[in-house]
Amino acid sequence: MPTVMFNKKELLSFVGKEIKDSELVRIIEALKPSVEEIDEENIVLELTSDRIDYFTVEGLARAIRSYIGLKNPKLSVSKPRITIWKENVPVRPYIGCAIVRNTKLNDSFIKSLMNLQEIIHETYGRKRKKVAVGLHDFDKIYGTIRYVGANRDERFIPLGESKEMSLIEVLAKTEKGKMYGNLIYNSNKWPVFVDEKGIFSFPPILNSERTKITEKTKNIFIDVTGIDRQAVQKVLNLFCLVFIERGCRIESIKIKGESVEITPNFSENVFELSLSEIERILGLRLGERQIISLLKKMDYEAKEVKGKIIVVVKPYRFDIISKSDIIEDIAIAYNYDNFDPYLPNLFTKGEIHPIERVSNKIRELLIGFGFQEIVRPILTNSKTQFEKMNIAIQDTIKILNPVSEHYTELRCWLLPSVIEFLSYNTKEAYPQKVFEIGDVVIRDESAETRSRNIRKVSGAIADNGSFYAEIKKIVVELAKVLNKEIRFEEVEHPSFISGRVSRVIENDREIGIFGEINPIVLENFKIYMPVAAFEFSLE
Amino acid sequence: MQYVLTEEGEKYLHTGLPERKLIEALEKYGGRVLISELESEIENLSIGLLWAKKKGWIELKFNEIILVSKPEKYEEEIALAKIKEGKIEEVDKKIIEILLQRRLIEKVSYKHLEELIDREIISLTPELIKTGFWRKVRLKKYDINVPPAQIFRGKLHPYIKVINEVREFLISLGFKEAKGPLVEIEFWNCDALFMPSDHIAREIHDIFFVEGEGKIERKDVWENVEKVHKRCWGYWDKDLAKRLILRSQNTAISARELANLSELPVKIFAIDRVFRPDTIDAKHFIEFEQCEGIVVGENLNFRNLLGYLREIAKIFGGKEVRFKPSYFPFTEPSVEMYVKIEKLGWVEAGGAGILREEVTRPLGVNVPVLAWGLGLGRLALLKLGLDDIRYLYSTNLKWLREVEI
Repeated sequence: MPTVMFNKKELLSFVGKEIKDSELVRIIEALKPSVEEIDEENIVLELTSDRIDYFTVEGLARAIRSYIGLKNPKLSVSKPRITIWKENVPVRPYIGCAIVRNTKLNDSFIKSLMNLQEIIHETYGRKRKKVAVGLHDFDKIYGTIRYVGANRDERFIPLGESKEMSLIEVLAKTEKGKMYGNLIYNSNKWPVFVDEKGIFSFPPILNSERTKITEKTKNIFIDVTGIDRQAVQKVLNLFCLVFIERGCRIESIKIKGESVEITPNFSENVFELSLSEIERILGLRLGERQIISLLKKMDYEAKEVKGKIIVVVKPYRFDIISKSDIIEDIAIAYNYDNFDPYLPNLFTKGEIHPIERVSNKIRELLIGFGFQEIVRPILTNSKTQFEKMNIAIQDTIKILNPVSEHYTELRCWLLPSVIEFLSYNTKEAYPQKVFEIGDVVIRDESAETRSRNIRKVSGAIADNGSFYAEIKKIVVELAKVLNKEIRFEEVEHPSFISGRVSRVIENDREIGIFGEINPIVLENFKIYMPVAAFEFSLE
Repeated sequence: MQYVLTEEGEKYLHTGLPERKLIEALEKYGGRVLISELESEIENLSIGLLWAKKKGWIELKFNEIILVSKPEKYEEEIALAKIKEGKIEEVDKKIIEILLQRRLIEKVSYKHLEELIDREIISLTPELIKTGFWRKVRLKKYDINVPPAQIFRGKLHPYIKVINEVREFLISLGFKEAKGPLVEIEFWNCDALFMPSDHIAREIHDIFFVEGEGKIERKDVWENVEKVHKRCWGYWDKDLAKRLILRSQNTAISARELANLSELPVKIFAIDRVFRPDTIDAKHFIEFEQCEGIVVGENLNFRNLLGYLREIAKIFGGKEVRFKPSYFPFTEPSVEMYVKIEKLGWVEAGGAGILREEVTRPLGVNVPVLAWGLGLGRLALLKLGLDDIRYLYSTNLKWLREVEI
């Protein structure tokens, strides 16, 4: 989960009240974030991905303010004075814009905005694919604003550059172009905002140097673009929230395309809750008044109408999908510490999974034989499970995005895990007797997941001497414990010494193999001690 | 020349000769008895009859045995005992002949043992004991200060021991264990849990992908899930849902179990391996065990969830439990549990919540489902007093041999 650091003084000045550290921690933790650190200067929080508004000092302050009963600024927006002409740009069809008046930008404000922008792009914006945001100095924009599809040879001076570049050059040469160019590359027309003077924004890639925001900027133009209409609206609302909290005025914009739309749209998202469904979920019998005051603590507007609670959700709450999300907020406002936990009278019969019961039986047996249990990863690599084992490479389940060359595929047999373990311990005292009980995965096209887990046991004795007979004895005992009628069958298996290896057959099906390990395999693993080993299916 | 007792000789030395048995029985029956009466009573009756008659102790009349005279002693028995003790010189030659004839003793050559007489030897052997020669040799005294060779016990892996403790604990709370495939369809791992198609946790840095597509076996559930995604998220990518992955959370097992419920109420848990791409260091590995559970039944609520969590927290050995709001895509309300552990303070123990109706309804479940997950790796490290998760899949045999579990 993401971690953010806020300046404590700044946070408290936004809240508008001095709060002691211990109290501040208590409040913030009750609201969901975890406080990782707090000192004179800063507070470090671990946040959850549902409350994007907490990623800004303004949003968190607002939540704290309502939680402790202070008044919050009203989310209001003034009527549109400006119209944007919008063409249909299929690669990025949705836009939302607003003008922010009377901004008093300073260093911390700009930092906060950049921070929010980055977080939105990385998380909710799905690396700018779903939503991207641009902020511009509105006073550097001239004449009518249009959102159009541009040809790739059209030119402008991108942010941070000194010369004009064509759009295709921006993709090829700038860092952002390289990172996000793939989002639009395959489309004929690329999305741009233009004014009298030409392109001033190239979403979702780069803004222009001309309209760059500085501490002198007085009015800001926000452009939000994306492929999900609702997501675009919500992100715009969240930015508006930050500006409103900073005392700015939001002016809406009329967007004329195939239809006419006014953004931002703070229209109300309303839910209706009944007392009984709150009681059903929380196990608390709360009165209407109490519920309404709890909801207000969580920055909702709420009132009672004919026995139902009507709840108005703030326009920047991305996470409210259904009633249960609001009911959680009621629980949060009530405070989890105040719930009285109790176990219902719900009798059910517990049961171990049969394969685990069998596994435990086998553990007991092998421990009786003096074996040490080991636990190894299920992920392995071709070299370990085939090449070093001196057998042909088999078709196994491979990871498409491995993070290490040691772990690239699933093991399809267990013996290599045990042999590999011995190879790590050649300096440790012998005899070494170890075993693992674990899953392997084999292909099975008939299965829903095209594969199947098989629980297996594998063990080995590494010692100076011949332990074929000892291993055979163990295999016989394994079969006894598992109630399997087995017979042995001669086999050639390159992992084992020819003539010192046997297959274990149950009803004409091979369920195991044992024998003395081929010295070639021992050499491959740099084990300079004879090894006898077995592998046995528990299914 | 030396003599040793045969197996039969040893036996009679222990139990008494058949003729002694016979005479004692006759005395019991008042001096006469039918042969048939004793047949089941005395083992090797015919041998007893033969030797008792030879010695003139009994007479046989038709099928009846009559006691003639009771012997004062049983010389062969005394002889057996003396031979056993190695005092062959005290035994009459005639008796030795009889014992040889009766195959109660046999001749052995002791030349190699005679060489040892009065010498100091290291190993006491079965032959020395059997022949009594151990009396004629000196057994070397050991240096009791010599340290012994190391002995390696067979042992459970400590991590498995912790896992089995958790397993037993949950079974005692009425939870039934479930399993699922390690290679999973993204559908059960994500879509069925209401994670939107473009959720960031479904990208390459959070999930291992494998080649191929899974099969749609529960068409009904797939259709329900599609509907709920389209309604709430506005879109759904079926091709994505079909992708095969390595299971990244055991909630996938819970989803499968919920889609196949056969009884109510029910409590289900799973302890199994999951996979996630990560850096590999002391705190992270790309495989780990997850312990997850669900409680399914009418009228379950948030307070019940906290009740179960308080119960489950006991496995951590902490006395105090604290709950904090949290977020998971598939639960609402969601909660994080902390347990107060001596010396360590508050430790994050697990996450939980009530499954969203957007999750349960498409799976065909119309009652509340409480869901929780435990930080099993953390629990194991805590119980074992370790701070490096690499110990859990340790390649270090020395450590495994020495660690006390």
